[in-house]
Amino acid sequence: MDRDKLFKSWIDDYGGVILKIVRAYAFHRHDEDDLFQEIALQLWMSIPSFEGRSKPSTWIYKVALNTAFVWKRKEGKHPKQTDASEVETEIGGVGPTPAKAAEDREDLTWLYESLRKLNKIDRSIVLLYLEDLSYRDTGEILGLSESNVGVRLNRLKSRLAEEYARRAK
Amino acid sequence: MTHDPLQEIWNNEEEPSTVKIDKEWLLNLVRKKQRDFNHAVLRRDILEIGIHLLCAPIFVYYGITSAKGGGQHVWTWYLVAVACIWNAGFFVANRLWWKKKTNPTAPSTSFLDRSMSEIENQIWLLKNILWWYLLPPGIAFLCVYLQRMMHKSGAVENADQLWETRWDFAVSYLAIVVVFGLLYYINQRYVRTELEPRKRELSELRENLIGEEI
Repeated sequence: MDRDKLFKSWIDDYGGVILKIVRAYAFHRHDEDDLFQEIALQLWMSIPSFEGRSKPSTWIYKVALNTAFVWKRKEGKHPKQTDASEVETEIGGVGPTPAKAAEDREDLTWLYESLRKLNKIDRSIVLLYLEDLSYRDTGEILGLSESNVGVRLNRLKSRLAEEYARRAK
Repeated sequence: MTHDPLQEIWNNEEEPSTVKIDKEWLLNLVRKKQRDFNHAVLRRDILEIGIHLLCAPIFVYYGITSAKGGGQHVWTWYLVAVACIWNAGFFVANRLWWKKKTNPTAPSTSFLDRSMSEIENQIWLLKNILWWYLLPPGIAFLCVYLQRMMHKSGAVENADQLWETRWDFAVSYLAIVVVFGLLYYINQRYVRTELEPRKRELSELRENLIGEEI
């Protein structure tokens, strides 16, 4: 498959996931555009190095997260705040009924805000867990051992579950 | 597969629609990045030229006032002023030279070629920062220190005082060397971590998007 076709298929298949990663790392709408563009460019640039040894999804997550890490450092000047109303407007459609949709939207806003409060490695671990990646794949993407991923993820999941339960009360 | 509540929340979001991405989109992105880069370089140049032009009269003033009250006329301060003007002039000359070299209206000059040329010019400037930016004021300051030290040495009464004077001047000049060394290091690091990867990126894009650009 040539470079253009491969790039197009990656964006078609994983564009939505990339946007989710972008939202977890960018705090303002204009930053989201910037980060998305940067990730897309880096993905395109990375194609010659992609030898097919790892799964495309693993490769794409790796490139996207590495770009987000570097981009964060560049964007360090920006205030690290989350504007709930802004986040809410950006989140995609949710829920089958208006009441359920509103509830789901609130939950999603909370989840994004919680993710943004974590450090970059922890945020990536949770993000990949939410995307249902195995410990092995997560470890490969982030350069951590499976056991390290497991220990950290269990701690993070308990913390988030506690916060969620407190919030539900 | 069973999801936990967090995964359920996560998967409740509909897949956001993505933008159409093709070569034109990539080229527009490169254009935007290059515009941002050019603006940053312009801002830096204006700041550098402004600071150097502001400093030059200050050093001239030091030179003039040094002789007042019967003191020694430290004419070497004028050399520092000349070095400041040289630095400001170098920024202006380089900008004019580069503009002439890459005439944006020339049909044969593509956008990616111009971007590449701008990056290469910045790499050249920063890699050679020691010779055109740091050395002229460095030598001028050394002259100031030497002149003042020689004047002071003439008034000492014994060898111990002479060495003490020399030592004091050497230590204070070392502070300038350290600051200049730090500036050199920061700039070389910027070349390594920012400009050279950007050059590789542009080179790659130029090879692959050739014929697509406007």
